[in-house]
Amino acid sequence: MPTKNGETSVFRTSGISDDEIWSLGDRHIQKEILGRGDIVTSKVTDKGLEVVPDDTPERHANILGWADYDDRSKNISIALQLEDEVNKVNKFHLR
Amino acid sequence: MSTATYCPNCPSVSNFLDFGFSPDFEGLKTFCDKVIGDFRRTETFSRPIEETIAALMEVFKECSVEDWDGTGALPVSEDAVLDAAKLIYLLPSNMTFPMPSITAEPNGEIALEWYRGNRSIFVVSVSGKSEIIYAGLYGTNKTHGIEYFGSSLPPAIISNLKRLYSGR
Repeated sequence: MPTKNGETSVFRTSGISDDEIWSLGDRHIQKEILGRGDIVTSKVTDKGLEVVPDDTPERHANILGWADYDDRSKNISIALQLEDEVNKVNKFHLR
Repeated sequence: MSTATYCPNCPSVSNFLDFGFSPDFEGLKTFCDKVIGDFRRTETFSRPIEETIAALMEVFKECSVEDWDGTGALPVSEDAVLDAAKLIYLLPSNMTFPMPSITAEPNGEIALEWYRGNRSIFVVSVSGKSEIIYAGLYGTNKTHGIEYFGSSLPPAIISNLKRLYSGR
């Protein structure tokens, strides 16, 4: 789900090891990381969203293109479909 | 997202968090006391609801501060917790449906999710404005919408839960 700015913060993790992914999160997320979900970009763009890299910090990107606040049930529906895609390939990882 | 699960040592209504001072927090405490009190009469009914309320309180404890997820999330409000508790309380008391898992959303809302398996999920989200935003996945079908609720659960929510758990 997006934040108040209509963005969902993600890291692009293609091509790096599992340890490097956890390390990336540890370096740049100011909270203890308990788990993560991995999804390929095409599954996100298939839903009409965009993945826009800003590399601030390294490998960071934002998912944009969410519906307006008044249509947020659509956002929940899209988020549910993305969650299902992650579940389908067992890509939720607990630390 | 952060999903809370029940643990015996976590705060519960019988061991209520006492870090709130506002009238809304007092209202929340009174409401949650009533929720548990009404159902404590029978152990069969009381345990799932008490555990779910405890999970809700744990989410509130962890996510009621700005940036609780480290990526700029809004704090979960007491009003959202009140709405979530009310919704849990309004679930059919015959326990046809299991209790949902509780999650905080980055926009400060609270999500209640019923998960049966891949493409078999129903989730509702509340923000404290007496409205329920919901979405469901049922195989290749999907639905979403907004319902307002007062003293009873909107029929659309019941029918989606029935749809999810039909054919069990």
